[in-house]
Amino acid sequence: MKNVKKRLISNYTITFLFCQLSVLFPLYSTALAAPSDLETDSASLTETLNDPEANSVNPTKTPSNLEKYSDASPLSPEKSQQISGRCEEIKNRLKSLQKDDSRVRVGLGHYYENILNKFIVPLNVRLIENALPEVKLVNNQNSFADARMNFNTDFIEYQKSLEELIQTDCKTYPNEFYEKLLKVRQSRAYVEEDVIILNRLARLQITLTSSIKESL
Amino acid sequence: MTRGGKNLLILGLSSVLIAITTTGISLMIYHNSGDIYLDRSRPGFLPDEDESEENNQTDYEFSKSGPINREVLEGYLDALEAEVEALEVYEEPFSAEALSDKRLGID
Repeated sequence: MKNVKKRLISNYTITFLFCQLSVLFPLYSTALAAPSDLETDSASLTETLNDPEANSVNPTKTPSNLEKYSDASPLSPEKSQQISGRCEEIKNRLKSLQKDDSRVRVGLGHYYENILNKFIVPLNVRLIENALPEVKLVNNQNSFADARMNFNTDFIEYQKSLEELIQTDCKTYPNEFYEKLLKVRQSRAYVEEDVIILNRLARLQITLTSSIKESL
Repeated sequence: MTRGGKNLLILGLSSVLIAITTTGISLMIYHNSGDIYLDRSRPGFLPDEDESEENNQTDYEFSKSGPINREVLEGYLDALEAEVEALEVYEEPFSAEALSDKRLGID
């Protein structure tokens, strides 16, 4: 009787532990799952990527809009005092900006996802099926997918640095706060650059498709 | 305490410990992967009520199979043009202005 009880309890324990672990692994895999990337239904898409001239957009990581920050000079005592004095107000504005950026990111992300998965990729697949492959369109697809990944990555980095900035005590450490603010500005500039590139690539898709239409 | 009671206590404590450990690991992964910064279900980041009106995205989807001719591409271009124009409603997203000294009140 004692042995039966022991066995029952140990079986129950093992089952329970297994259930707990089975909850952990799906969570782990979901958290680590990379965002869904472009679909390539046709293997021949990869065969048409050998034309270096067709890559007309070269996304770079050197944002040119950092020049707008002419006020990125060392922190003067007056500014330091202003930061300390208006710390709460500044933080509230940053929190509001954080929420707004999140909303804009979701909106833009949906559009980019649609453009890539419902327009760019299907057109390339259909062109290949009709024996009309267009290298420039395929390269545009790859550039768009890469730019979208960069946008996701850069946005996460930007939000991380913004979160860190908001958590900094600007009343006590205004200089440190301002230094972090400069880093956040740079991160935001990268995100802005990614958006500019993506919008340009979307316009390029229209241009390239129009030229194919004219040639038919 | 009986042996059964002891075992039950051990079972209870170990299950709580496992739950805390797995939750901690999950949260750590959630933070480190950056998903927390993309998550709009956390407090303070929930979408506003009027936000659903902004996301009027197309249901149009270009089929991956079928003929390619002028008419088909015209329909494609019209839909794509509408989508790209909807993108441009976001005026200067992530512009430098929002984090300028003037906007933050450090001027």
